[in-house]
Parts: sequence; structure tokens; C-alpha cells
Amino acid sequence: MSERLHARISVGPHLPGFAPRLAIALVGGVAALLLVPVPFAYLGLALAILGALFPATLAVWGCALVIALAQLGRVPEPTDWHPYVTLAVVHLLHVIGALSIVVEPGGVLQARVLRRPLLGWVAVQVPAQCVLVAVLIFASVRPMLLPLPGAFAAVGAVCAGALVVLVIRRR
Amino acid sequence: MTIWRRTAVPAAGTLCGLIVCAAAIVFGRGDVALVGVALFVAVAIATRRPATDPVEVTLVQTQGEEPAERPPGRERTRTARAAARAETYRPAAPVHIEVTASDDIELVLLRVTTLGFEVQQFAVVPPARLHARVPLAHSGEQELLAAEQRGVTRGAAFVADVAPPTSLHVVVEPELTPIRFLPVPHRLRGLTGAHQSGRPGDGGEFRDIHPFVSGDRLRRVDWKATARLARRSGDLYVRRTNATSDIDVAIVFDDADDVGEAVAEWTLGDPTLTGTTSMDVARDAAWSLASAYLDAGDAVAFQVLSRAGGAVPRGSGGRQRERLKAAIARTAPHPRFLTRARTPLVAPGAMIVLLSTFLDGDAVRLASLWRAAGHRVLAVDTLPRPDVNGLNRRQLLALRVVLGRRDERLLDLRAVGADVVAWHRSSAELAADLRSVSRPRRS
Repeated sequence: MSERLHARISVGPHLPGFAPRLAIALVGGVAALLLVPVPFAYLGLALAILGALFPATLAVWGCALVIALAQLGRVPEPTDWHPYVTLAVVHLLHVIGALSIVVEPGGVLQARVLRRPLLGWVAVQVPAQCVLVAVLIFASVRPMLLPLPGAFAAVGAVCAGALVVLVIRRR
Repeated sequence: MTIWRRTAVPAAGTLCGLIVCAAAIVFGRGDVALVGVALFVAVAIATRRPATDPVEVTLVQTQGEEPAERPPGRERTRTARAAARAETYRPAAPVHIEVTASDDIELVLLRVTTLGFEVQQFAVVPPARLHARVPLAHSGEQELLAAEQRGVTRGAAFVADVAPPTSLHVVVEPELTPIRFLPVPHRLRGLTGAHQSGRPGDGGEFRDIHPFVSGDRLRRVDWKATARLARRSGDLYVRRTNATSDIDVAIVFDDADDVGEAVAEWTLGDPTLTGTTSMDVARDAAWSLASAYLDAGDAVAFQVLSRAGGAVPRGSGGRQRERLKAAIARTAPHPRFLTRARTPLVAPGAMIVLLSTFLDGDAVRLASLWRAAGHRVLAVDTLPRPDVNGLNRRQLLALRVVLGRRDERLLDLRAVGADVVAWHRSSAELAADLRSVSRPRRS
């Protein structure tokens, strides 16, 4: 058999196309094992692996959901690292899950592709982590005040606002 | 106009955020609610449909050919052009792929197909410039590179439908083999040219000493021969020379088959695996012979067996050389299926160069017709040396049958008086074969 001729195409610094899927498996799996109590940790791990293998199943968001809901089992403490990591990991899974849906695993991913999603992630995370610190401090100082109708209203207003923005930008 | 389709990402993010927020409200947990809000914000920022058709891909072939590394075990090409590049085997064409898009597009998914078979996929950020080196595997017209692109908006919220591919076609010229010995027709008809004719005339080599007859010029009288041979006073002997002549050459190109060295690839025809193909060999042979005949001042015509298009009427000179080069380079395989090869019209007494793999009988039938009409036929066998690696026993048996029938056709060709030369050989073997068939002989 003749030797196959290959065209060589250079894109500069790059990653393999399966890198987002690998990141899902690693980030989701490790986060599930660290942040989620057993036996739900295994569910999170399984969803992370399923999402890495078949991103179209949207199992990544299932894994994110398991990690986020596991936070309900912990007492909110400003000195506890779990809420901060949960917030970061759930958002990060959303970002790399979106990337893995569109990037072919057998292809090549230009390294610059990660720049804008990660900058967007940081741009959301910085204020969100600051607000989280305030919320945790507030909850630890006045634990009896939660749940408050005002807090519900605030969260509801933010959700409604986000939905309105979503609808407006879609048009 | 690009059609944008929403992906499942915004819905998945929104649903996930809603469930988290609902659970946080039920359990009264502000920290958990913040996770859902972060997802909402991420989705809200990303969900904006692009208004225009922004992705553009431009393929630019840069000037010149870059030499590629020579694969191990391959024979070096024998042309002057290749010889100049001492350590190269196949050149490669450098191509730049430029991707531009509006700011709405976060990344562009590129699907690049090279040589029609090899597919590579890329995710790049516009504007991007990719550098490709595509090996020029074969001569002739070919699609060097084709690119399909899809735009993806921020957060992968929208993906564009696949745009029509942008492609880059090139015509790779055949390689020229210097030819020293050219076969000529048995009877030459012209009175000027570069070939020795069998008739007496001017310009050629010594023919004989002949008694002076009316019409002979006095300066041709050979006084020494006259003194030696004259019986009576008044006898004169002249020194005669052969006339020189040009010839008409018809190059007939059998374009029915395009099979490569790798027999296992005969069915698929993957150009990255076939090795040298019969069309490559035929183009090289046609161009080398046409060029050599034109250099000798002959008139050369070019015909294709399967169709009338692509033919070049007989002619000579520099412009005819360019016409022939373009026509030969653009000749592509054209299966004949059930139709028979048409019989090209050739000039009376023309030398016919028939290039074929002889995998079917059409070429042999035509050669027999031409021989019967008195033409000299040079049959150039363009089948590359078969590489049988990767064949199973049944395929090997089938190949033996095919090649056996082909050998019978070549024997038939020789039987009707055609000269047969296999072109895909070493330079020395090819030169020896051409020298052998170029020796003057009587038909």
C-alpha cells in the first residue's frame, strides 16, 4: 500500500478537539467527588462522564445541577470553601459544556478559542463571588432571618430581570 | 444569507438555573440561589442572534511550490525540473486560509478537505489565518482544498448552517522527460524538416552515387566518382543525399481509466493513497513526446478518445506548445461506460502515439484500424507498476486475470505492427526502449 499523503495545516497554538470533553470529565468528576456527598457523588460523576462522551445528552447540566443542589445540604459559612467552588464549577461546566457541543472531538481547537469564554466566565464570577461573600456573611450574622420574603423578592427580581434581558437580546 | 439555529445550550442553562433558584427559594438559601442567577446571567449575555452573514473564508494560494520531503523508498522523479530539486520528491502547494467574521461570532468551525479525501476540522477565532501545505500528489486539474465554515455565537447559543464550500482548484502541469530518440513514420512526405526521409533530396545524409539525370544540379556532380566510374565521355555521376522532412504526429489520449500504483485503491481512487496514477503517467508521456516532436519542428495534434472536447488541431511552434500543454494538463478521466471510443481523425500518414492502460480493447481496435490504414502507431503503456500490497488472494487472482488479458492485448498490438513502450520505468529503460523503436526499418 502506498504511503498516504497528508496536508499539513497549522493554526498556531492549539489543543486537541476533545479537550473540552476531557475538561468536563475532569472538572465535573472531581467536583462531584469533592462537593457532593455519597451516593449522589457517583450520580454526578456518571453524568460528567456521560456529558463528556455525549455532549448532546446535556448531561453536563445534570452534573452541574447535582453539584449545585448538593450545596443545600451544607450550612452556609463564609469561611467554608464549598459555596465558592460550587458557584465557580457550576458556571464553568456551563461554559465548557457549551463549547463541547459545537467542537468536534476529532478536530483541532485553536487555543485562542478558550480566551473569550474564560474571560466571560471571570467577568461573571468576580461580582458573583463578591455577592456570595456578602450573602454568606449576612446569612451567618442573621441566620434566623432567612428565609425572608425580601430575599425571595430580590432573587426573583434578578431572575426576572435576567429573563427579560434574555428575551430582549434574542430579538 | 446565513440561517442561524439555536442550540440546546441556552435552554439547558436556563432550566438548570430555574431548578437551582426554585430549590434555593424553597430551602431559603441565598448562596445557592446565586448559582442559579449566575447561570441566568451567563445565558442572558450569550443569547443574541447575529443579524448579518458575517463569516467569510478566503483561500489564497501563494506563489511558487514548496518542496516536500521525499518519502522513503520512492524513486526519484526523472525530469529536468525534478532533477533541479535534487532531494525533493513531490512538491507541495502553500495555501493560506483566511477567516474573517463580525464580532458577534465567537468561533468558526472549519471543515477543510484536501485533495478531495482528507478531512480536517478546526475551531478558530476570527480573524484567523491558517497556513496549509497540500502535497501535489498528481498532475492535472484538481481541487486542492475546500473549506466549509460554520459560525458560532457567544456561549454557543447559535450555530449557523453550513455555508457552501469555498474551494481552490489548481492545474498541476505534467512533468517533462527529455527524449533523445523519436520514432517517425515509415514514409515521410514533407520536403523540409528535421527527420531523415527515405527519398532523395536536400538537407539529409549521403544517399548514393547516381548517374546524372535531367534536373540534377551541376554542383552535385561528384568528379572523383565520375573519373572512377565513367565509361564514356560525357558520363557524369552525382552525389545524392536524402531529403529531410517533418511529420504529422497525432497524440491520442485514452482517458477511460485512472488507476494508480496501489491496486487496493483501484476501486476507491483515494488520491492520497493511489501513488502515481495512469493519468499522471499518460500526461507526462503525452507532454514529453509532444514537446520533443515540437522541438523537432513537427506538427502535433492532440485527441482524447472519450470525447471530442479537449482536442487540439495539428500545428507547430511556440503557441501550439502552450495549447498542448494546457490541453494535456486539463485532461481528466472520463469513463466510457457502454459507449465505444470514437475514432479520432488523423492526418494521412501521420505518426500516431496512442497512450492507454490497455485495460480494455478499444485502444487495440483503434490501433489495428490505424495500422491497416498505413499509419505507424506507437502504443505507450501508461499503467503504473502495480503495487499488490493489501490484496487478498481473491483480489490477487482477479488482478492476474486482468493483467493477463492486458498482456494479450499488448501482444495483439505487436502482432499488427504497433510499437509498444511502457512509460512508467526508469529513465535508462525508457530511453533504451525509445531508441529501439526509433531505429529506421521497413514496414
